[in-house]
Amino acid sequence: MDMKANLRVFISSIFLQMRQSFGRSMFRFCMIVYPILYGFTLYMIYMDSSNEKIINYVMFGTAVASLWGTISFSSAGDIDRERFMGALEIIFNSPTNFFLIMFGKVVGNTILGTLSMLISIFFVSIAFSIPIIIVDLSKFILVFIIGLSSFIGIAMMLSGLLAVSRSTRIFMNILDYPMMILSGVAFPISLLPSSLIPISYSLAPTHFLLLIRMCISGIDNLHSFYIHLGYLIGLTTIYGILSYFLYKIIDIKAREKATLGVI
Amino acid sequence: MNFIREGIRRFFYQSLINYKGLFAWVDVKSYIFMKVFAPILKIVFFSILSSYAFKTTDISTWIIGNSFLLCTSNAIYGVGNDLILERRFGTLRFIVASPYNKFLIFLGRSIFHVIDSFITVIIGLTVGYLFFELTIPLENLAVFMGVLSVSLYSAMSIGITISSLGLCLREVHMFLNVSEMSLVVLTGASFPISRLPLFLQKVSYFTPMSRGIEAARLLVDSYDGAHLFGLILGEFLIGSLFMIIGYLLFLYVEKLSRKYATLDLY
Repeated sequence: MDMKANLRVFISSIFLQMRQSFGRSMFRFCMIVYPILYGFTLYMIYMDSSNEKIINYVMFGTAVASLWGTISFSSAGDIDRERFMGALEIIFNSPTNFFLIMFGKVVGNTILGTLSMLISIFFVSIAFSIPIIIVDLSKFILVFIIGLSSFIGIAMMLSGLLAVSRSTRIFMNILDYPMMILSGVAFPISLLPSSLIPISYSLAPTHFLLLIRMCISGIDNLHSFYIHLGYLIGLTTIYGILSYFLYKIIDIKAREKATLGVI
Repeated sequence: MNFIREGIRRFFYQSLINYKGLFAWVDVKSYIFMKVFAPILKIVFFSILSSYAFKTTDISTWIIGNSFLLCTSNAIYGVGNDLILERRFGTLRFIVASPYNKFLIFLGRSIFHVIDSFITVIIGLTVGYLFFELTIPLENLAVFMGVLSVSLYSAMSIGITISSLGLCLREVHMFLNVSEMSLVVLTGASFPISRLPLFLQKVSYFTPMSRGIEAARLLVDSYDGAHLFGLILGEFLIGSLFMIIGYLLFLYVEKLSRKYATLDLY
């Protein structure tokens, strides 16, 4: 297939996914209701804290948790849904690259996930009169785009793992809290035992959050900013490469075992 | 006498069958992941969060609250999803048509969920004891278990109401998830109820588990027996009220469905 045809499939996959996802009540919960209820709960917990903490941990903590829910969790679950509906084999056997179709699905969820992120930010800001102040907007936008790419990478890896192992479904259901603990969504990672810090730094969301918080309050240490940015770019690249190879393995395994559609 | 014994046996057997049929875990691995690891991680998350946000090392209050709320997986996704799953599997019509006492069916459905969630809550409290210095005085332990049992009964009662309400709704997943999050907000498990807007404080007053959590917290320190008894009794009454509401709601939905033949329709 030529580039133009691939692009058409990719864009169709994005729009189809967005329609399908929004049609599911669980996705609408993750996208609209969850940010509001989670943001409300976190605000109630942080109510007596400084504005800086509220912006860092309530506003952007909720935003990243919502983004995680809609992109990673939903995208990973999509492969399971396709399997359940009997559509996985059809997608797999279509002339278009399987990776490309799944990539389109994840990007579709990412667009909706970004809206979810905005909902949580504006909800916290409007409901609790917290001003949104981003000192370094240009760097914030750069970090945001790279951060989204890293979430896409994670979602692709999870969906790939789910395609080859059904146990991933259980694993996926308990992934929320480790991610929130290790990446410092709702509190600083310095509170974690020192043995967990290296694991924390091996996750892209940790660097994403650190960078976002730097951009919000102003970058005091440019060296530290670029180190975390380097980590974020590096980890995003690793996630991308791993996803690509994982889908290569799926391609072989699916043909070898013929269990792609087995529930 | 044999008749009573047989009745009790059937009651528990049906409760077990229902638990296994609708809340079945594929294997031991799934159960351990969902009912052991997930609660541990949840308690660790909320403990660190509470310690940081409330700037204190004494987080017993929040560990107890969040441990009690671990029962929502059984109350909301187990009991709360019960009738919805029966409808999905096409077995709801048999329940409606069966001559068996419907109230006993309802009650029986929550028995094993109470036992299962009891284990989950204990896991949460154990994490608090091992890692976050939660201590419950030994002399209060028996009363604490009593409070926990009443709270779990109350939680299951809200599950029954949700289950009946779920029959009237199409967007079941959204409803179940909102119910779970609402319990987090309204029970005061993670923050003081006094922080809620006045209207929600009043709603919280009628929310199952709020009193149970408060009673359990009292048992960690010294407590006034009369106040404690009042809280336990209140929790039991609220639980019973929700149980009756759930049952009546089911009878109403059943009546409507008989009239319009829509029991299995979404």
